[in-house]
Amino acid sequence: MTPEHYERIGRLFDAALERPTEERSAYLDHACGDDADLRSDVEKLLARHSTSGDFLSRPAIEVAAELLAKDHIPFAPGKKISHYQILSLLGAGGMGEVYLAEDTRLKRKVALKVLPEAIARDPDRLLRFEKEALAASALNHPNILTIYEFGAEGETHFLATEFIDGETVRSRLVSGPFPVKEAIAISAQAAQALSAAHQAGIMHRDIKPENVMIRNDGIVKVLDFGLAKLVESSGAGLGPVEAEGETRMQGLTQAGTIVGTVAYMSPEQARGKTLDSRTDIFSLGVVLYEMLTHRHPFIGETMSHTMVAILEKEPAPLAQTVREVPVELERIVDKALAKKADDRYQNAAALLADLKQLERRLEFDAEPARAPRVFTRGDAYGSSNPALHAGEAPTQIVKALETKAEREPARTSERATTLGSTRSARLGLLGRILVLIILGVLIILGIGAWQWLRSKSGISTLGSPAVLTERNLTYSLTVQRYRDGRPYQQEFQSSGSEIFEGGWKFKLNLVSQQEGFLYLLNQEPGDRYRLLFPVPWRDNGSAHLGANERRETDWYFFDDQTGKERFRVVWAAGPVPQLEAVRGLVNKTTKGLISDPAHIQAVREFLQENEASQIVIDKETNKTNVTARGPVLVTLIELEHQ
Amino acid sequence: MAPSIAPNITQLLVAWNQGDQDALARLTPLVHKELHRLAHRYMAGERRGHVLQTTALINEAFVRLIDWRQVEWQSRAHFFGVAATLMRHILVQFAREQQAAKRGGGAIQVSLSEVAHHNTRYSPNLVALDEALAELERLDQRQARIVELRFFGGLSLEEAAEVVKVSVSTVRRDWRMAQAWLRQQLSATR
Repeated sequence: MTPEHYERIGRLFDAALERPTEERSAYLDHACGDDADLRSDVEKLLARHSTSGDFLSRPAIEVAAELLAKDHIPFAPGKKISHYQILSLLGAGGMGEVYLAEDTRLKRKVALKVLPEAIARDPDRLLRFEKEALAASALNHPNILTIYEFGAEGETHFLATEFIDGETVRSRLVSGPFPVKEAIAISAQAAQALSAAHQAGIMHRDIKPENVMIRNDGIVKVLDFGLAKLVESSGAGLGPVEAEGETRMQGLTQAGTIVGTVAYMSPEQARGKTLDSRTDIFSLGVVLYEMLTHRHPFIGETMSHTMVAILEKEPAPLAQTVREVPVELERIVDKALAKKADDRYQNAAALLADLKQLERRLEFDAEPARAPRVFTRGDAYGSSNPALHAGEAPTQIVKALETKAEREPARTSERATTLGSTRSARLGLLGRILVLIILGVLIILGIGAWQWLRSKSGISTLGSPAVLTERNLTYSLTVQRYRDGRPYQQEFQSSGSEIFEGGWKFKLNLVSQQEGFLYLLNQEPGDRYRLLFPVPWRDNGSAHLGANERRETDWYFFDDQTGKERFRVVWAAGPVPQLEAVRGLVNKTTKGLISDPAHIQAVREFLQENEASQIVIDKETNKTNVTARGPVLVTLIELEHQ
Repeated sequence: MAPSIAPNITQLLVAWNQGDQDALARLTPLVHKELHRLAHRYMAGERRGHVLQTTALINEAFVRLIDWRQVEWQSRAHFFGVAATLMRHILVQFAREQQAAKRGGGAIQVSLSEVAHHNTRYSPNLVALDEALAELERLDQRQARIVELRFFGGLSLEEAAEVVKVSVSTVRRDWRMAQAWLRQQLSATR
């Protein structure tokens, strides 16, 4: 382009803009004459002007500052903060990053929670952090994470705590529900922690699966009394709080402020009411329910749906999803989840007492007479059968088979006849036992082979791997245009042919007729991938998608790099190990980018293997319906980005 | 207003304006420090859902960086002009380094945090913009200068008019066309 041409375009551009919109076309017809190129250049500029008029309205220094603010780099191993040496990054969350570090003075491992500088400089947030440290360090209980120190070096503020080698209830939930006994034992330990804290006048206020850790030796630790506050003297059920503490904490105890994770809030918390320790009992009830059923009792499509459910809906009875659930456990969960605090357990000790009693009863009931149940349990979600790993397993299984055989005598003898020829029938009791043992061994081998095949095939299936039922997944794309940094026009369903511009955003709405697991990947240049879904802050971080349950992703938006954006939606009948392996690594620092070469390779191979599966895309009403036979569905979404 | 910030910054700016490249090397860290301060403010503000007062921000940056009384500037406009060019130089260099540091570089910016949920504004790529602006300089130098003053220097239409010595309505027209053309360029390249 020459300066002269640019000047001509400019004159026409200015002149057109001075006219009303409807007259511009006629004006350009006249002014450009036959020069189609000139006209096209002017029209392009006019279009740009109308869609992204003042795109430079924010000064460059703010754009640069934003770049810097978003590009926080975590501390590298070896870095020393005060007398702690960073060993590795454990995770990042709303309140900062957590590192595994070594206390160089005491030569022990600690978890070092580092506040982002931006928060450390924000007096309100710093205060909140200090309160956390103060409140939690006052507690000394084996089920509560021990706080060692709250300190600062330069502008870096940190909290050093006991390091727990284990995993959270949240990460354990990935592989399915907890066995009943384990869920009870974990809840009982958490109730013990709450009881101790409540007696010290401290509420947790944010009990959720992420905050309950199971150490490798089975000890449960409740973490992050991040939102804990001293119980107000008006609170029921607890003794008077010392006057000094009350004043100190006043800033945090205003009714009307909603703090915490919505999904685990008590009804009174969701209403923004003044809280007392019974709020924690409700939240623990939600966690217990989820451990047992692998489902959240109140989760809804949106945050407000969830809140309404917490306030109004009764959760589905445990018996609907959990086999052979003790009636007593149903009662305990109901009581913990009572909408009115007055109908709930009035303190954690009462909940603990009921859990302990049930635990003892189940132990008593679990004597040999009930062994066969062990065999039938636990396989529904494809989780490993505990009996197969336990030392006493073989006897239990044979016992189970015996019981089973007795229940179906006709079929057993039929099989025995074909297997062992007519002679075995004459062998009487001894023969029958022998046949049963052989049958037992064959079944054990069969289970082993099936499990081996399952692990080889890379994904666990809910149904039989041999039957290829047709599965479907329907999705649509919601798009929001932006102009001058503000939403422009109504959001709309994409027809798939839009050309996206920088700053526009979109989200995916997905639904499948079958229960399964959902993942979303973004392909980056160089065949690298970002896991965009599941993410820890949505749907409890789980990829699980119920039958006909709608799932909405985060909003994703485009930056200034143009080209084709490739997304892959993966739906599978069971959790996909290659993706589950990287799921835990998604946080605000990594932004879901898969960086470990082994992981990248595994994801690539998984996609390559499954892309061959036949997919029929049926487009109507801007919804795309993907169908395939087999347990895995992979579909590619390509968006043009200009 | 903020005497704690390097007292010699104005001298450095004058020196740089007269072609002293060492002065630039000494100025850059000072601007970076300011940038970090703004970044922290940006994040703190974003998290609470506040929209920053951009003019206040940029003015504060300059006020902090320069002691007005120290040197007799030829004019206020002269100072603004020099400061805008300096900012362009340093900020684009900064963005370039950031870009290089990012391995691979994600094409899509994923909204991964509470921060992102508030941030729905479009942020131009500073490096690409700088290149497009160089092309604009060839086509229409005044328009390019106005972009430099407004975007990199944070000047108002009136202040920019004072620097370029044209009417405010001319600046408004130039600014309008330059933005449309630059936006088009940024979308067409790559």
